[in-house]
Amino acid sequence: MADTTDESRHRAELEDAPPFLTWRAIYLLVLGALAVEIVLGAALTVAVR
Amino acid sequence: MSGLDWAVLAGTLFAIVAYGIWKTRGPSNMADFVHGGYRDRWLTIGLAVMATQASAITFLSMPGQAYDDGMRFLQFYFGLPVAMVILSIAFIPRFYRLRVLTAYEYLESRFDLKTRQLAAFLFLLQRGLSAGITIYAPAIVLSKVLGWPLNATCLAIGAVVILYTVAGGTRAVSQTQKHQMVVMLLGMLVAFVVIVHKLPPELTLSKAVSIAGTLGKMNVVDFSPSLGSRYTFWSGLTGGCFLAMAYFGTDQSQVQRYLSGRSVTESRLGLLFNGLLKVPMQFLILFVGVMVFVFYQFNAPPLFFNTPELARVAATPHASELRALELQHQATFARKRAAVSRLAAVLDTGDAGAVADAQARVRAAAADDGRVREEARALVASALPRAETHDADYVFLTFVMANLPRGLVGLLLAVILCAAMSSTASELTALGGCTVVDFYRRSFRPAATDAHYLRVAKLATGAWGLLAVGFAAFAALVDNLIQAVNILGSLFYGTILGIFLAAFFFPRLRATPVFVAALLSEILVIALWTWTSIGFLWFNVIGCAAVLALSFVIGGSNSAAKLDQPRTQT
Repeated sequence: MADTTDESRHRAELEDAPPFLTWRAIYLLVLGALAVEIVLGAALTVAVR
Repeated sequence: MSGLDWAVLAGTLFAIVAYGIWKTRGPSNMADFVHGGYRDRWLTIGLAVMATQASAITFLSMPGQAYDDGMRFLQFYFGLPVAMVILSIAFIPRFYRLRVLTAYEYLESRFDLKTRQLAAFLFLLQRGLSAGITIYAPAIVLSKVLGWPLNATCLAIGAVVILYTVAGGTRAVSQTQKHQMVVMLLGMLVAFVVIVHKLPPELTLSKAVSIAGTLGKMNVVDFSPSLGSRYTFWSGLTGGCFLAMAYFGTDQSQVQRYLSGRSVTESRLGLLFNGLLKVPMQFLILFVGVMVFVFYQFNAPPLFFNTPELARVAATPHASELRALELQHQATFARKRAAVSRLAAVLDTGDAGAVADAQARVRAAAADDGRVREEARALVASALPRAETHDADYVFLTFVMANLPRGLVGLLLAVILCAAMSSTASELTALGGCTVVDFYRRSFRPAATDAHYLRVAKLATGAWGLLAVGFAAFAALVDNLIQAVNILGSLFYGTILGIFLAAFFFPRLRATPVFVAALLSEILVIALWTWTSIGFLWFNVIGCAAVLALSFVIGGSNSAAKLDQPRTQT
């Protein structure tokens, strides 16, 4: 088993913040990009049918 | 192939593999071998995760699939970004908390040994079989196009991969994959630019897209709710999400990629990078196939893209029928080209009636041409009963070999071989690591030294590599390779994912009910696959839901379990 110092460092790692933005903003960015891609894909499908 | 192409191909492959081995010179313990010493940054993880999933089949089959069936395969990836977010929130912190070497190790701490080893066994079974197809797919196409013997091609791909995976373990795989992925993306971008450049000068990109749309190739999103239709928005978003969660969350070949990160943050960012880039990357690959399709509206394609098989037919008593079909093909192609050229011309006029009329003529001419191609397929099947009649896998490589300038042919072949090596390497290190960690160390030699386990892991990795080359010999029995890999995964992933979701989100579920439910669910999925025509993506949802539902039915929910308690004995 890891010693106490290792464990506290490990716990800190688990709660780490991202180096840019926040986790919530990054998740929204990924899902928002997907939504835009789906809308563009649907528009392309209809436009050149 | 020219000398320059050979130089580009050999130079690219040698430089990447040599750099990977040099950079990672010899892992010193099991953690190094399985997780590369936990040193990777998010960009390396993201590119390695993408390279693991992008096999040679991706680059050989997908442009051909778009040529035949249009863009609708893109929907298969719609669930992936959602899955990446779920995995980042729910899976990664749990794996890190217990510092597991394999994903299945977590299941023993939550349930028991038999549940852990059932999940690990299902992984070894499906991944071991898939590894054979992963090697066979590029080998069959490359051997035919380049004239190399098939078994020697399988052995050559397998030998190179075994060499650097056994030598360097996961870190060598990640380091090589980073560069392999860059070569793959660069190669496809260059291919796209060259194809567009080779279209007739008066044909703008928007006209090319309109022509593809007229012939049904720009079907990116289909909202129809049919369960039987293989690729729709709904099956892609739900089935694709479950498949991606299962593949990235429970398949050791992916889990070890992101657990090689130096922190939870690096692992999460690596997966989310994959979630952000995956759909655009697959769009590019499919769009390359659509542009190859447009190219062949103006330049005569072969009657059947698997030209070596066509040459064999010409040597049979069916040769005269083949000649007659080739003459018909020339005539139908000429009519189609005239109709497509007219459509391209009237698109500028803005006359809706003239455009609709030209579109109808193009569709009629394409239908005639399609009938001749179907007759050619039937002729190949009757002349050569054991021949491969599905020629989509040969479309892109045929285009590359005949139309790309010298040097770029070598680069595109390097893309295909990089993809073959990167996905096989991940599979082999995962198979070797899982064999040792989940079975050998846990059940057969629990008290040996780390150096002993490292030696056995290397031996197991090499043995799985040789087995994969052996399995490749039987892959000839499979008709459609990309479909075979995805069906094989979908038959097992739902059950494995169900076990993990039960472990993560239902703390009252106990080990034995989940174990029995998993066995029954696997039988159910295989029965449904055998006796129904349900689209394979749905098996991921069905298998997962069946494990959870049956676990509650069999075991009730009256026993609390302690979650996420680290164990020393793993």
